[in-house]
Amino acid sequence: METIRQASGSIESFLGVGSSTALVLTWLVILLSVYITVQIFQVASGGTLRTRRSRGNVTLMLGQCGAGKTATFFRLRDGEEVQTVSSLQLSRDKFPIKAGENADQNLPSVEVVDFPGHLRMRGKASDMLPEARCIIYLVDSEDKPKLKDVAEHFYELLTHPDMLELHTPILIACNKSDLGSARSEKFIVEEIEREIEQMRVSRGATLEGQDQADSYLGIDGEKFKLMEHSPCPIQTCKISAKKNEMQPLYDFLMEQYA
Amino acid sequence: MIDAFYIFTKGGLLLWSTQLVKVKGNPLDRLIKEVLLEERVGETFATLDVYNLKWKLLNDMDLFFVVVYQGILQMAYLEGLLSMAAKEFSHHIATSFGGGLNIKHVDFEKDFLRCRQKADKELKESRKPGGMRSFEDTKKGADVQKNREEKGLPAPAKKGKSGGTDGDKEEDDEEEDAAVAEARAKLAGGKSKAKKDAEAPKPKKGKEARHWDGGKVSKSLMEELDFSKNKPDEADLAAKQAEFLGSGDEEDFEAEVESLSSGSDAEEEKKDDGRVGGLFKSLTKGVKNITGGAVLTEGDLEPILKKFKTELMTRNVAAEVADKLSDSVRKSLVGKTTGRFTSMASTVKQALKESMETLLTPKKSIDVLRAALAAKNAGRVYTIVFLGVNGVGKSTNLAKVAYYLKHKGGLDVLICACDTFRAGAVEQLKTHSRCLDVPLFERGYGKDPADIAKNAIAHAKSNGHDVVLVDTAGRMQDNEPLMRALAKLVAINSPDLVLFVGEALVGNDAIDQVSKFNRSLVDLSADPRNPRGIDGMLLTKYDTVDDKVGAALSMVYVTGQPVVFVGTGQKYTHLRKMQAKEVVKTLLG
Ligand SMILES: Nc1nc2c(ncn2[C@@H]2O[C@H](COP(=O)(O)OP(=O)(O)OP(=O)(O)O)[C@@H](O)[C@H]2O)c(=O)[nH]1
Ligand SMILES: [Mg+2]
Repeated sequence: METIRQASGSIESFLGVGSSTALVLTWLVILLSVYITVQIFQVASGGTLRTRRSRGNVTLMLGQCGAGKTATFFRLRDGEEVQTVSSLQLSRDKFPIKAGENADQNLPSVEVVDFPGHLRMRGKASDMLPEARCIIYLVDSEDKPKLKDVAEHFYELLTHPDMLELHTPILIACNKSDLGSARSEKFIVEEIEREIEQMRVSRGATLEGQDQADSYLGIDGEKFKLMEHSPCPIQTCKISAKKNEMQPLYDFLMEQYA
Repeated sequence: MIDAFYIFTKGGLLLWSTQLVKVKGNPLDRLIKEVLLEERVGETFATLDVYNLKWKLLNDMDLFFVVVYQGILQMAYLEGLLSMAAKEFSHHIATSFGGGLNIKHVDFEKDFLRCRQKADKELKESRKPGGMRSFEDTKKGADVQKNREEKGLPAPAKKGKSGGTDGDKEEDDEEEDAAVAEARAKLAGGKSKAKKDAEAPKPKKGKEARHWDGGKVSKSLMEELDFSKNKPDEADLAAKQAEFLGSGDEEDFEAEVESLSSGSDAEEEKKDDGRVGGLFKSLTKGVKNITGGAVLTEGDLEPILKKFKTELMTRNVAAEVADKLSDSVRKSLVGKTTGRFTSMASTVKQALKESMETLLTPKKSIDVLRAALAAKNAGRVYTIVFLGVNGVGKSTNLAKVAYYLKHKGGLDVLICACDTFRAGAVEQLKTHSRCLDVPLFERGYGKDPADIAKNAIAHAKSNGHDVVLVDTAGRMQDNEPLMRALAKLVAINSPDLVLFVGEALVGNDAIDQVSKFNRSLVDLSADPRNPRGIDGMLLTKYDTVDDKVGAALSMVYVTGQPVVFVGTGQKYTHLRKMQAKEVVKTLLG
């Protein structure tokens, strides 16, 4: 602070301007040099990063509208139940993960991103992939019609260049298991596999000029198996954000951040 | 009068809500998914089902306030209510807001009741003879705010003297004066000082304010029916804002608050400190524009947005769409702080880019082949109707789609000639049919196209065809009788997909075409409760437009429907899917 005042004093006398203007000028010079340094640093570090890409460090929560991402986010963070509306913007926060009931383990700080499920936001969700260490994909176990969309999203994810390169692990968390009408994990996985199988005929048939992302999933002539044919490790589990039955999420996160 | 009121964050937390009348369906959910997420934040009013919704966005906190009502209510009343609620609410959560993630539910019943009563009272007063005042006041308030934002001036602390509640002034004067004095010392005592104060956390003053607040709340409980009680709040609020919003944020926040009330003395005060502070402000603003951390005002955004708007229009985005889009971006940015080392221009560009990408990302599957295959598996015939104005390339592109479905999906396609109007139309399709080795269903000229299509679908069913592609006569969007005939064709046959075929090179006319086609179909739907419009677009001659890809954006904006294919040449294989990111890149240069 003292040096700044001295510097501004010298500028004041040198240029013959008022003290407040001189102060502003001094700050300007300081900020400019800081800015340039940071820019240089960013360019330098960006250059090294690009040569060998590795996964990011956030837990990315994806899934359809109403799957319960926001509910799960706040359960993870505060253990509280919240009232939600459909999200317009991602929420992101860093917080410790307590390993649930048998909390002898815990993670000091994990950054979690709750990404809105609206289809219009899907392109932006893919932009997040390089930042992700792992993905928690929430599915509304009760909503069978939505599984078509889920399958379509999986097709996009599993053929996305970033996923092919980074092999980001996915946990398919079948939420709302508290509801009587909730479907089983097995049912959900099979439904997704069935839809993907249908889709790969149409997706495999790329239109001219389409990007590489729309390529064939699985092995031609064989039934599509999510666990075997995906470019990344996939696990499934059953949770309920409402009833606070979240143990599988904690286990998954412990594994990922071990 | 109103049915419901909601307060929620962009992140998706419902912080508070009330239903004065039970709300049927979920208009709020529809508002979010069909209006707010469709980059239509520029508007602040929508009608969904039987409900009208009006909303307000507090950008610096990412908070939405929504009022739901039926029938007609005075806009000034609704705006007043929203603003009051917004002010009260931010006051309520001032100390613990913390980036918006720390507040999950707020007890706002009492404060809301007060806001409502005050708004009701103002409404009543405005209805009295000579009671135009509250309207005037709001307008004036808004002007003051605008002015201030343009000049980037901080709002001075207010004397609670104006406003529409003359009745119970005296009792509050003492309390007010103390509060005003405190706030003045902070805000009006010289800009740089106010800034420094705001930068350093000041627990002591903050605490005092809170104590005082505590006392006031109980008082206000006792006097729930006394509407004038919110005057001291403003000063209190100012103090709190300075405390928790930190440097730079307070101006806009104040401006926000200021807009709620009339501003005769506020205006005067502003004139006094305008000069010196103004110079300082513009200097710091210049610095912040380079280093980031500037609070965006309407005045800052206007020239930048204007530049982008012109750029979009030279790339063929319809003027109306460019306008609305930049409105939406403006609304979503005013009051925001620019990121570190981000200039205002690049902040605006980023926002525009994101909002266009969102728009162009389809909100439903556009995989036609998959849908056709699924229909086949279910034992149904899949039908697509192609429509559009004359000479845009309907038949040629229909042939491309036929080729695609046949060769890539192994589907058995039937082409149906429903252009019974233009001489040579059937022959043109015959040629395609022969080249593609795809059967043609035709009944010559002059017959009712709706019937022909119906027969074709029946024919396909009994002859094992999987897909029927229906070609229709090109028509001008203003031709009533022809549009009616088209709507009838769609209504009778309820095709799986109604594809609007349009030229990629149209400019402003794109909107007129696509919206009138859509309107005709919706108005003349078979089931008026579940109207059926255009499902998607096929843009032709896409290879000829260079960077003028604006029609895609215009049409998507107007219909909310995706571009399913783009035609890129004369050959059957010249059919592609549009890449949203590429389009956006092209549009932003
Ligand atoms: N019964 C039940 N309901 C749940 C559960 N988890 C979430 N919900 C409800 O599902 C609804 C949607 O939850 P959100 O968390 O808002 O969904 P989201 O995935 O964030 O949705 P978007 O923000 O639109 O993408 C809310 O009404 C929740 O109360 C659960 O485990 N069981
Ligand atoms: Mg959400």
